[in-house]
Amino acid sequence: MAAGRLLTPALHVIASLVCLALLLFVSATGLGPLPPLGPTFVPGTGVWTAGADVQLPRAETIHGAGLQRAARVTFESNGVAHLQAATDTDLYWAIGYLHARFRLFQMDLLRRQGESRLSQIVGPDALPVDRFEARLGLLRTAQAEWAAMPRSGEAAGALQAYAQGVNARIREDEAQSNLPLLFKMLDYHPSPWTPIDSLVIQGDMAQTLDFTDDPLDYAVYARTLGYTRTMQWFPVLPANDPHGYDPGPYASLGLQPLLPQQGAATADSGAVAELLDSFGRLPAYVLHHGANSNNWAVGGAKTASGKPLLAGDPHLQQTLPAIWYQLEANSPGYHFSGVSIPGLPVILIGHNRDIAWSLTNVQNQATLFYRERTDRAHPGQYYWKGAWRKMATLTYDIPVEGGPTDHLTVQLTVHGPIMEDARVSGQAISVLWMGGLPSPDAEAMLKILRASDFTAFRNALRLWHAPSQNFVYADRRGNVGLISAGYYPIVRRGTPWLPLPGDGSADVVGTIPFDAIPQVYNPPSHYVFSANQRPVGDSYPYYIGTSKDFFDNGYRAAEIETFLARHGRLTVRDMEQLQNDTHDYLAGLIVPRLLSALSGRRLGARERQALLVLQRWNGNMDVASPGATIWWQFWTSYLLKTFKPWWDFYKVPYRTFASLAIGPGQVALVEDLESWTLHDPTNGAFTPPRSRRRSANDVMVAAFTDAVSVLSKQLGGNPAGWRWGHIHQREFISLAQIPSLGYGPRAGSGDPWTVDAADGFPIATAGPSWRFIMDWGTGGALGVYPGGQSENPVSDWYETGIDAWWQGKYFPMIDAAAARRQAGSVTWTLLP
Amino acid sequence: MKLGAMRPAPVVLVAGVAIVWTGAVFGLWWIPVAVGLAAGMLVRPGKLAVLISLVAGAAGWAGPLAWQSLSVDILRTASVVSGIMGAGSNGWTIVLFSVFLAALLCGAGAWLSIAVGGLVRALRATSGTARSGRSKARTR
Repeated sequence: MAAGRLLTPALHVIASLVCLALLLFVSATGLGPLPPLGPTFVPGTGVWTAGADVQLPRAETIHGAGLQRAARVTFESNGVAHLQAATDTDLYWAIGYLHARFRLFQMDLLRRQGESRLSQIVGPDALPVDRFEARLGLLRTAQAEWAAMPRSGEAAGALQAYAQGVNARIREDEAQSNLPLLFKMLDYHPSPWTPIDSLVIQGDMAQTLDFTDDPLDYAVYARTLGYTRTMQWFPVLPANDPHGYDPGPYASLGLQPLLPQQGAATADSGAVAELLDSFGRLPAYVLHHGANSNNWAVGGAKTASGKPLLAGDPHLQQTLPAIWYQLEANSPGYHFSGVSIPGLPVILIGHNRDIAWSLTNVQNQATLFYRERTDRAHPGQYYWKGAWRKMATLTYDIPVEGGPTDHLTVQLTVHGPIMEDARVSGQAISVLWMGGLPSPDAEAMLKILRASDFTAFRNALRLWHAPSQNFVYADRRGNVGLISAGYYPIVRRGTPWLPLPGDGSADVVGTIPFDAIPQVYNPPSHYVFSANQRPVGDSYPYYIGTSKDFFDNGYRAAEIETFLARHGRLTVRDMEQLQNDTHDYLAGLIVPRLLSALSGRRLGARERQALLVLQRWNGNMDVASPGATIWWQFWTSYLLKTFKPWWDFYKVPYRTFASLAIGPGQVALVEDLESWTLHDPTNGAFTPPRSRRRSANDVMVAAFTDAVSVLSKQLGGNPAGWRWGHIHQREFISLAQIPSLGYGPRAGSGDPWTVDAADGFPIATAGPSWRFIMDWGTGGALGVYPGGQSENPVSDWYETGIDAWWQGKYFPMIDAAAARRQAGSVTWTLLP
Repeated sequence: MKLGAMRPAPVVLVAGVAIVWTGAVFGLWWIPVAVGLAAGMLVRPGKLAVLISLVAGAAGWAGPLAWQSLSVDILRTASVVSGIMGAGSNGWTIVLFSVFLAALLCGAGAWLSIAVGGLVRALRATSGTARSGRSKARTR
């Protein structure tokens, strides 16, 4: 009876206890994708603190541990920072502090990517990337670079001071419960910053710019299409004119040029397919794909002012926050202005008081794959130089949010890490990547920041190994130059565009000596330019890469060269116009041939309308242009109608491996088709296997008909209304892959071959990430990037530059004194 | 004199709001639970205690948010957070959710407190009945 009376209140207690316990659990730890609700939403310290950034920084005094003397930071109204420090060390401290203040989450994400720690915050979805990075070894490289760096040297000092500045801000954020929004939503705290983290971010950039899987693609093509046909269609030297900037004469200094051995490595293996499959499942930023960047400089003989002009626009993944943080810096030893990468204490592109420079990617072959011979009878060993050798092994524990820690063993041969578990008996593939070798890039950049003439600039670049970059140069005195600095690996023998035998016969024996790498200084033309094209002519005595991705097809280079050659008395306005140019050079070559092929043919009414549009088209990929739409669809169809029958006949697995698919992104195929259309219209490639004979004209007409049909279905029956922007957009994706934090998609102009490049179709996610113009006539510079100085999506500085960038406008890069005079600027005083 | 009569509900409400508000400012997100537990002990009847707790929790977090909104656009923050969580771009969703969370924490604390109080009273009543029964038996 008594027990019965107690039952109801007891159940009441149990029910309330369970409810409260569940509520506390979800509030304290989160559930599934939900963050811990309590700390996330509590008003004083939760996500609401991000709102404070809606107001831009106020004039204030900040005390920072590690500062030696007082420093000052002035912000322009658009967030660009101007630093004034009393010592060089304090300058790097202040840059670290600023980066952490405005880009801490981005910095943490970048170091996590290279250090195999993404899974720790986002869960098992990131495990393939973490495992890939652990194998590739950016962290190992960074550790080796740091170990080799003299502690008393300038670079180590800069990295240490920078880390102190970052950590000062992290401590401040922690003490004030003011960590950036995404730390709170993902429920974690940043660990202290170290110089190695900065070196890992340097490695991230190298990886994005020059780690490729092209030799694996070559291996599959060689197995399916046959080696001879593969090398005809993906030749070492391009089928077209790549418009190299260094015409020679060339010197061969110390190493023998590569002698390709036809058919040396046609054998494919399951290991190649496995690795290609594994790479195909990685996010786009992990491997280098496509083309990027323009830069040029014009000597005073061709400018209105009589002094040089320099322009640069690196094309990278366009993200929010942007990869760049703009600053101007002054200390006793340094005066520079330009864009830095959060995580690194230097600017990469910009100017000092005497010289200006900008970068494009060289895109020489920097990744070599080796087929390592293994055997069950020799576990953990590989065969090299006549003997079985023990592989070095490293073990990694990769923490995984919401799952067990992943344990990974990485095996290394003399060439580099094995990139995938050797599931296919008897063969494993290792990779030798130039970015995996220690490179004193930080030291090189510090020397560039101090350089006052070409000799000092060039000497600094002797230290630059990876990623190989075209450094364009212009100085106050009137000189211009271009140097393609970096490692160019030379193998003993063999075909480096294919996976090489790992037995020692095809090992790398060295690199091209610095004095023999592509470079020019004050050429007779009075201008220099690069756009990822093959920088040298056919007589260059060294192997540097092939037409398949290693170099761009030269259309942007041709457009730039044509413009610079044609015009004299060039001005800043001309540089702006060229950077924002949307003329498609290839269209200019091919459309007249297409019109010729169509003349006299019987066409339907809609095809006649489309033809009329093309006849009136100026070749510009403008957002409102219907001609651009018809051209692009035609060219895509032309490529497919030419090559797809071959791919199908020879069973090229393009449906399995996206990198083998036919499209405008296949640099070599585009060059082939251009060359055949212009110079060899009866090339056998136009006739598919076991089909009736076709010429370029036949295929062009069929492709045009197909393009009109496709566009009619997609965009309606009026060709004059087929605006390029209807099928082509640009998007700036969120670095954290959160759709609501990105920008676009928005109808956009350009294509991969226009100077104002848009890489990707139908949505371009890469393009000019920063546009920079230096005018030595006035000593002034202009710059703009499609993003903002703050990573906080609530901040007014999150998207500051996008509208200006989109409209082709620029911001003047003023100095600190001018910034302080500017209305709306604010100044921080940093005190020890 | 009843305990509830010594600490009238309005006093508990005002004190509760003040404590939850102060805790919220310092990031002590669990304070509403403690306030709810206390309110459940101090206020009778239980339904009134729950009501007071819900109001105290909600007001204790709504207050600092309203205060912040005087200087910053909290709806902008809320709409960004809502977008990140995939809940659309309406910032009010996140503001109301935050206030609701505090009310829930406070109310759940009160519920437990009231339930425990009920169990204690039932135990006392049961033991009182048993003592009374034993006393009657000894008398006989």
